[in-house]
Amino acid sequence: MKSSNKYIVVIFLIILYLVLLSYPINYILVSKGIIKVYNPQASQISDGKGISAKIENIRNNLEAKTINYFPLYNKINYIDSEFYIKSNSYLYNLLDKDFLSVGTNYDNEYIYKNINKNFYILKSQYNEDELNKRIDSQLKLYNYLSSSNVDMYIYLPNRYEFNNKTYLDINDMNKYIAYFKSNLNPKIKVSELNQEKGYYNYFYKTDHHWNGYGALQGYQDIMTMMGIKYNNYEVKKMSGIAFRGSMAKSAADSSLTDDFYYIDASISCKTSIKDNYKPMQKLTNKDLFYDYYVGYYYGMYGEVSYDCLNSKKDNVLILGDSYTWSMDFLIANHFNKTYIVNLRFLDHFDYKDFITKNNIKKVIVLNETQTTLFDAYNHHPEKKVGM
Amino acid sequence: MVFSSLIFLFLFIPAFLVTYFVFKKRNIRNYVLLLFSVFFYAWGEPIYILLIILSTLANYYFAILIDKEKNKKLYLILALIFNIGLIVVFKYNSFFIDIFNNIFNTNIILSKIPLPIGISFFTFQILSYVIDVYQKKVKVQKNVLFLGTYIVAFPQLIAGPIVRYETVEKELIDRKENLEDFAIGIRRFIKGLGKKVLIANTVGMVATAIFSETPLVYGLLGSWIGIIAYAIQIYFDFSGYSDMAIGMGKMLGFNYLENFNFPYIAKSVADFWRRWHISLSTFFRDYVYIPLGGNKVGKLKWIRNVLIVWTITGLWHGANYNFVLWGLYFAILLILEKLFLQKLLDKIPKIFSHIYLIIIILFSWAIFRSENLLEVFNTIKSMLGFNGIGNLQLYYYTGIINIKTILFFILGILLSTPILEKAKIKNIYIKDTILLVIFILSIIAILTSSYNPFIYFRF
Repeated sequence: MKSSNKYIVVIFLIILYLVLLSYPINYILVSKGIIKVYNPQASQISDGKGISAKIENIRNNLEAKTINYFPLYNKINYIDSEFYIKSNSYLYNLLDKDFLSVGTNYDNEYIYKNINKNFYILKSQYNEDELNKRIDSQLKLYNYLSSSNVDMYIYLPNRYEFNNKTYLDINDMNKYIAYFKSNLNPKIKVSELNQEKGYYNYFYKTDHHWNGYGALQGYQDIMTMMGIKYNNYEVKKMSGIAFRGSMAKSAADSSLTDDFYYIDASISCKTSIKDNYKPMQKLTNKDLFYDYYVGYYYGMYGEVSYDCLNSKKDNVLILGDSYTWSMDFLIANHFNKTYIVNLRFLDHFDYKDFITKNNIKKVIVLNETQTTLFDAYNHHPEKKVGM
Repeated sequence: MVFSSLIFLFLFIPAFLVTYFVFKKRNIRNYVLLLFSVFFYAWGEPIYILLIILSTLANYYFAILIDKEKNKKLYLILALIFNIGLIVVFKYNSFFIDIFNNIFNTNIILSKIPLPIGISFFTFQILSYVIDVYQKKVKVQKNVLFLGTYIVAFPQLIAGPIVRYETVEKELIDRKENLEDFAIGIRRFIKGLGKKVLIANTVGMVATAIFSETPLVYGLLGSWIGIIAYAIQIYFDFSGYSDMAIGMGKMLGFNYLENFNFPYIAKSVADFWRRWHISLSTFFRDYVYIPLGGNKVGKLKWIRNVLIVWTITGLWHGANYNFVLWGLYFAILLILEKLFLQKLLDKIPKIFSHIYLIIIILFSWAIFRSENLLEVFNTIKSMLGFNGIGNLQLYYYTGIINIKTILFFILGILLSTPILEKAKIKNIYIKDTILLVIFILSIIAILTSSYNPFIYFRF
């Protein structure tokens, strides 16, 4: 019996059985909250019925668990990611290229890191044909919504990269925005966040949302578009926070952090929530990838309203997503009643009925541009509003 | 269940090894192997385990009848009809109905039957057993559980190699597991896992990324880089699986035959097919080509034989026209080589015959990887430069250019040759340490590639 054979056999078996034994230990530690699993692999749930679907669900669940409870799961992912980003940043510097591909997010959008500016950017997952189809469908939606007797305003904060100097033409957002504007009912007013001027200031480096500066600029632009004089506010930095946003989370990049900026303004109006959606579990800030944006604004509701008790002013409806959370209260100050509806969290929304019942005079559409232009995350608003 | 998964490596294998080696008796070890293999298959295909059981039982009785009864040929024909019938029903039904609809202008639609994993492999193994019993090359197996163990043994069940019964006939009854073979098996398994997870998966992403774009985007450059990447992927994927199968067999005392022998260093198509998927090409040689008369017939009949064998070889790989085209492509090249080309290849410097083979093989993968004939046409058109040079931004946009991809692309090309065989590391401890590092890197690659981080929705 050769000792060299023993060496590989023993080490191989030690690795196998150590990992096997670590699973129940890790499971207990995670259940007790002693260790955390960041970005766990989701178990895919089969929609089917019967024994096959049940077996498939058990299988998917176990497969996800063997990943999530693998020893040093977080650490391995961070080291792997750090190695990938660092080594390739060096290579890309040599090649004089700015944008390093770091994979995709949950919605299958491509994420890139601008290695010179230390800034993440997003790209659409759809091809040109699909984008063309989607934009036409969205145009029909807004033209339908504007047919009610309301003034309609659309604001476009675009978190995608904004020119075609670096990538394939299909991702040139400017041409889609131009197409969108030219095919929209002319009575709808459209304005967009001036990215050339402040893209790197208006958005978080690591998250897909805008920061306090972006939100404040958005508020000012919307007010200007509506012909209303806006108020002045200050943007403040929340101290002691290292924010690793959604894109850093997708890339498992713990090295890059953001400061968290918010608009310093109080809500003086009466707020009410019509909860059509169970809010996500609030995380503790012990988490490395704690989502401060969600944690701070905490707005995952289908319908929120502000009543500023100013009956001389109009009522307004905002059809918006998480971008509205950071500044809707500023808009509300200029109106009597402000209703914020997030179609993502509603199964059905009787738009025309809502307009009539609540005496809505103005409608603002404020989503991330990809949602407004392409319904990129498949919320199917056209079905929900009964088009 | 696939070998390159955490479930297999850290739940299935540890549980299997303990259960298998805790028993001393050969019979019980075989039953343990059978039981775990059934579970292994059922993990991915619960319902089709019934198909394998049916196939095993039917062929068990066919072989007994062939062995006992006078009318052996009749039972052989019934066995052939049964086995080929199974493949036709489960693998080729929609293909043949499509042909029927096209010829007779009908619109017959059958509900789609999911393809049972590994059906081509296990059916060919069973066929080899039944035919060998008929030809008296092997004795009939009277223990149905032993026959079942041979057919469903998890190391080779899903992706081969096609292990003939004669290879393991004796080992099923009397084999000796020992530490040396176990160590050899581990080494081979790790080598295969590394080939599959590190090289095939990484380089495969290049091919997938390129061919997800339109031909005008990837163009001449992209089509060649993509096809070379695909050639590396398919070789390291398939030979990696074979290595893992052979390695696991060795750990259990089985000696499966080699399935690959550096096919990309071949200097002719005939040479390539002596090195690529050896278990399949020898199967067709012994069970189809030679019974048809092989090359010991007139020229026209020989051409017919070659065309038949390669049409079936193409179809074996999949129920699609491009696979038929792929098979015929090789048939024509083999005929040309036999008629005159081989003589020419022998005369020119080896480097040119090698370049000839590589170009031939790359075009063959362009046919093979396409999903329809239009895609074949588009890829080949791009390879010939009719779609322009391509958009160079593609390589950054899709993330193809990164240290890992470049490294494994180069390694893939180098390790397609016997370069490591020549540069032998004498110190076994260093060699084993390198292998253990490859094992750990493979585990990390499995873990991080399945990393699906964005659990919370976009807000």
